[in-house]
Amino acid sequence: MSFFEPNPPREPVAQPAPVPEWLEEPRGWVGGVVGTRIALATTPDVAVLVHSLYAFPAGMSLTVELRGRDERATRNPHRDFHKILHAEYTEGELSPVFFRFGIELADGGKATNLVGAEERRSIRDRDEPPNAPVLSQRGGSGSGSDVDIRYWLWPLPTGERISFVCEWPAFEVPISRADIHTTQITEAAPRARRLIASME
Amino acid sequence: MSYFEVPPEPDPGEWRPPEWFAAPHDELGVEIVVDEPVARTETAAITLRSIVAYSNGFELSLLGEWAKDGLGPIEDHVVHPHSEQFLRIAVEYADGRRATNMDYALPDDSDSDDDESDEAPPDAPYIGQQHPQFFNRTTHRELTYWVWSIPAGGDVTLICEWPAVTIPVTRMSIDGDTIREASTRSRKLW
Repeated sequence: MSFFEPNPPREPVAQPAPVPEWLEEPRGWVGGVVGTRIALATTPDVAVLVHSLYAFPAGMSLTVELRGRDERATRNPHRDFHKILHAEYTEGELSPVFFRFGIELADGGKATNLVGAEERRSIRDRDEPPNAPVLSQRGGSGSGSDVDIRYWLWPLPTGERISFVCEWPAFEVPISRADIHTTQITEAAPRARRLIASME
Repeated sequence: MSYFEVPPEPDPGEWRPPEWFAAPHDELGVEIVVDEPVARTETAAITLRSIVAYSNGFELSLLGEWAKDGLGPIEDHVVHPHSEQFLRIAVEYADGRRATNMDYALPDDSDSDDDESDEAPPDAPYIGQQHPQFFNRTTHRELTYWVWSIPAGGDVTLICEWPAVTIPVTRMSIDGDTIREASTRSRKLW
């Protein structure tokens, strides 16, 4: 017997169940480039940027970048990576480190990243599409003084405009808002297409 | 003294990349939508998704995609210059100067050399891969390249070759005026 005994072959992994379109971008697709970059908020220490917007028939993916001005600064966002992405409460108070983000549509509909576990389960398990927009956090990454957070917004925004809204108390970012015309998004959606591999 | 002595905090501010090495950290950039194929076969494609212009250079955002199992089992070699799976990229300016993403590959290593960042600016242009994504994507890869500097005149030619999926040397012309105009609109964050 070898000292480094190889693992037995893996059992084939079952195909995961399809995920509803309101929870994530369609697998095997690539979205149309919207071509918008926004500085949603800027303080002396950090900037909150919205970019990498990709439109799909049923929604839009986007990236929020939390960019620290200088790695030397003591308020380096990357150090608080987990707390920035996950809402934690102490005696009912939301952690000031958690990055609050949301959208508002022209008709007043809104969605934020503050979704409780019960509400999340309800959205995930329902058979019919929700009757309000859904903003799903799709992961994050970070390095140096920067943190990137990816979101999926369902459905594709309609109406005249969409507002991006954020607040980040720990980094002294007040409620900040920026609007873009939805025309940019709806014009990009028809450019979404299947990847070559998903056409086989 | 504790058994596990905590080392002093590093001072990351001691070193800063030269301005030609990466997109400026203090700028927002202006995105130009392209979304057009550079090369396409039945089993693979390279798409220029967009260009983000900054005051001193621009980023090319590309999508490389391939049919299932089309690249073999180690798709990460898409970003390793010595691999046949490597997606070769070059830019050429109207004055004939050019750069490729193989210029800084070490002879005996599969990674690029980071030490060039301490050197004086190259004669321009310079091309470097940004934000490599090292998690597996079995059928596609989003690739971002930083190109320094802004060409003074004429168009920019993007050249691609991808031997592993039999995409030959293919050229795409990019309007230089569009890049130059967008680069003047990149705003400072601080």
